[in-house]
Amino acid sequence: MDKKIYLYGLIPAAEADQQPLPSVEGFDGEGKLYTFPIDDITAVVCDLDPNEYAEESIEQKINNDLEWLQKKAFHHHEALTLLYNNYTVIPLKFCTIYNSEESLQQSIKSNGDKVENSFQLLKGNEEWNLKIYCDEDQLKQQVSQNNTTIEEKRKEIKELPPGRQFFERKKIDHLIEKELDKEKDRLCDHIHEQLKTYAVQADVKKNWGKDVTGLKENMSWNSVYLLPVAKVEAFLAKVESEEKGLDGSGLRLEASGPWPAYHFSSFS
Amino acid sequence: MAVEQPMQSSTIVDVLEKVLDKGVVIAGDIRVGIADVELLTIKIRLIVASVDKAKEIGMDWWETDPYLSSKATENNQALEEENKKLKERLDALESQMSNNRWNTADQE
Repeated sequence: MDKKIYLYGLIPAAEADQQPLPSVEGFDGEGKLYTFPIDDITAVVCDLDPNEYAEESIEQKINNDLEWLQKKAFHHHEALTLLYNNYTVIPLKFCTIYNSEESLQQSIKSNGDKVENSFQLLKGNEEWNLKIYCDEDQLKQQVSQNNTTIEEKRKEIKELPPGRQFFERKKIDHLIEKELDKEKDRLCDHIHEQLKTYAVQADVKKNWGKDVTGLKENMSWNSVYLLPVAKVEAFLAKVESEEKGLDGSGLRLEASGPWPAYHFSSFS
Repeated sequence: MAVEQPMQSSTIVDVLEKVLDKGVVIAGDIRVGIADVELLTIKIRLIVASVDKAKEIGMDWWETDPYLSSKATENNQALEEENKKLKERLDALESQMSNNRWNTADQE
């Protein structure tokens, strides 16, 4: 059986020709990464033993061998970061593996236009992430003090007999929770709309739970932006000023980047 | 505001989110289904956090325990080697000493 090919990323052949590939250890820790030219596209790959890296055994490892997954996911990311620092690169997903050179070649050739468009999109642009975390106790306090709906409800309650006040207060707590969520969405949405104006493309992603992030605050927003290099500085300044403007609300903004364009470069 | 540089200090959560994303590899010839990216991320984060924590409070004894760590085995080999050499020197000294005793006995 043929050797298998692990595909890390694609770079424009013109750039690959200008600069030799840095030396990087392969996925199996034995071989090295090398370039594989396919017309105007250069694939950065390494070889894998076909018996060791059968579909079932990889799936088994990913889902059950956490140490392996952690090590290899970081290896994948580190290799792509190195490529990203040297070339325009379309990063592939973790464990993109072909059964033979021919198969890789065929797949790239049939997606030639898409790859070319992706190169054009990524050239001169950077992928940045924004996560907004919320200290809910703090925001709750603000909402509870400054929200007109809640204020009116409080006034209403004061007029009631004491026995009913108790139950109505419980209702207010529930109302505060609802208003808190609304306020959080409104603030995050507003920030995103502002930041989107700097970006060529922008997407909103799924929020992660506290048990995933390991943080005390809830993640309230998770978005990704493709920014022209020239606008990155202004984007970050905007993030900072938005955060300052929210002082006391319990919201914390965290921008990270530039990342290899995992999000904005779909290839298949 | 914190700006993180993924080149230097990617957190595990960020990297796993980026490289695993939707959980199924659709490029390439093999189709790898990832059961639950969130669950895997939680588990990995916990492993890393507990190792870091243990180091912080000095509970990294397993790194020097030969039953648990290959590093410790290397250390052990060095120790055994040193031990062997010391024994040889001791043997040599002892036999020298007993020779000396015979010599003094002769003289008496």
